[in-house]
Amino acid sequence: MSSRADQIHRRDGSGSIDVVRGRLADESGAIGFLSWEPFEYEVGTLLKIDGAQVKTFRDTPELNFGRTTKIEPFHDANFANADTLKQGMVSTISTLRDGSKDVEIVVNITSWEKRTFTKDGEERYLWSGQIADPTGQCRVSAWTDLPIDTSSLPMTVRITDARVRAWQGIPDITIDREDQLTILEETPWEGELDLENLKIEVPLEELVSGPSRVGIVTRGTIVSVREDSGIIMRCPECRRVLREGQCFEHGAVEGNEDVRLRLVLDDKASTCALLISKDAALKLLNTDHAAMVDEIQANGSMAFVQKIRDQLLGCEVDVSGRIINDGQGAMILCDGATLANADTGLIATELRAQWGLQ
Amino acid sequence: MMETSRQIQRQPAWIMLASEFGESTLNEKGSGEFDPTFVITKLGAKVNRVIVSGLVERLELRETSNGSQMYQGQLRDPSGLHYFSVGEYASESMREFVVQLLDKVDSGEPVLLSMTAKARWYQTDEGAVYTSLRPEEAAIVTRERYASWLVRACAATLERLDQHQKSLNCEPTKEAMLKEGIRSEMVDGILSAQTHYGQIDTEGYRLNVMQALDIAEGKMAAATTAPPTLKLPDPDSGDDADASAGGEDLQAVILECIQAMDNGEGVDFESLVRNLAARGFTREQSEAELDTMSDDGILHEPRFGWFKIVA
Repeated sequence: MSSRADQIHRRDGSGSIDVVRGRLADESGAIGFLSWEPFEYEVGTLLKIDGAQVKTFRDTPELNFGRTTKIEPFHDANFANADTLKQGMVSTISTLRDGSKDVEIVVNITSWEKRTFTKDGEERYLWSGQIADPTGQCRVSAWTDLPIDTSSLPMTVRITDARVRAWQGIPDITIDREDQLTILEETPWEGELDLENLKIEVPLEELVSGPSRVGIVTRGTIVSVREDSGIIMRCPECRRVLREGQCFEHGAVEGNEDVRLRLVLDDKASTCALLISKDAALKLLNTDHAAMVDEIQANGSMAFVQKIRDQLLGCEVDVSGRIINDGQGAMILCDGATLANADTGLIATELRAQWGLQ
Repeated sequence: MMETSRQIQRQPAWIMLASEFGESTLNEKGSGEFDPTFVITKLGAKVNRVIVSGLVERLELRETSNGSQMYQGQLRDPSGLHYFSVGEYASESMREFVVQLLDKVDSGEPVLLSMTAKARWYQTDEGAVYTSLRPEEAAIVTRERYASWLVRACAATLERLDQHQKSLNCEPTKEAMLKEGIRSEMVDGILSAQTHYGQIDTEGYRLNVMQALDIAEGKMAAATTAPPTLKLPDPDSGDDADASAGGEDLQAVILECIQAMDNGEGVDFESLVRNLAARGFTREQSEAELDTMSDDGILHEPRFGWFKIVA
């Protein structure tokens, strides 16, 4: 789909290597490649590639062609043509991966602001904003001035040839040059995006096997209530949870009291840590901060955790928030949780109908 | 495309009725010291952890051979029994929970539990395999929460039945199964199950589901009222009225079972007796009633040991 010559400079300064970078696509998707050998095929050529290696840069796979890779033109009249494939290469926010390159995407820019920072004693700036499409929300950064008027947001744009970094698992699309941005008259999707409530329902298994995302809603069964659920103390400096009055970074400090539930959410064969923040936790448990403190003081924390289990273990819940998936296991940071409203009779009737049970 | 982490990942909890778990005789353990162990069910679920629910039936404190204390109990759902034990290895909160639970159970109060538990299995010297559970966390639940768990357990079982059915139509390879629409987490388990269990009769599981749905909907007596005890014939009572009422009841259940299970060839004796046992009828009762019904011309046996309803 694309190919360009590039050079890799040896780190020890002993010279550089000529390589070719580009992208390949089939009907299932697109992937970047790096060829260490001459690669002289025109864009649009169908190739058969044998013996390539797959390497992963951050969360993004890349094909590597070397001396032992056999590449030859291939003929298949049924193979999709380059134009069709090109359409399939347009990303959505839900498919962005840390480390992706050559990304093309159509999004709404919903906020835009200049951020300044000092590097090597020199004041510099970049532009930073939020973007959204029907599959989610994430960030965008630009190292160059762009013709974006903050008074006319949200604005629909096409971004091409962008790279993706992720911070705390949230993708951040980076724009380096002005020509990467095209302002569009209208959105390719129907209707307005309701940003307040732009919550994308995603099955847990998809979340757990996918990248980090914000603005998601999912459903699962609470299979564990961890013993450190309830009142916690946070470091006033960095908000880390204190362990025996000690912050990992700032040592012994006077902590700030906070409420947090640490649970495990399962669905089908997927499992995910679930952290519920204060307001959502108090609402879910139908209590308030003071009552919780009193209860823990009166009965001890073990009895308190057992009470949460009595309330939640085995229950189906709908949770909203964001998911961080960094390869250490997935974790949902939840800002809203409600018990799934199970009309048992209705579900039973549906099951009978669906599976033909008499 | 996520890099698989080297750290040991938590195993998901399967929502499962007791019959599917209890009938398992296959297990798998990796070679590494910390590799998880699995019980593999006939339907191909590869189970390390479950979330189950039911009525506590029997809970007692036992001394083990090495002098430590162990609580052993049974949890009944509409499909059968789970056996669970809480020993000194259990967390402090689980032990505390079971001590309080024992008080409740001893007082005769019916207790519905939900528990997350690790799957265990052991093999006797004779080679028989038994499964049991080691609870990690448990909670006393309401009838509504139990019903909600039941429908989810039914949905999960029906999906596994469907996956099992699909697997019968394809080559026993990973690729073929995935192509046939078998979920990736089921493929390994289904392949192992096929080799170990061979052909299986899934009708019992369907009946379990139907009964569980009835209970979830409140169509059947809730499990809170009493454990479904076996109605043993009482030789002393001589109460004819009662016996005949029981007989009619059994007859209706037999007809219902055959109707549900008959795929054209009739229903075999063993499946019938097993399903009737799950509904609280003894083998002797069922056998006698089947004889009577055959004699009365309600049923016929197209071949020996297979029953059909006379149309």
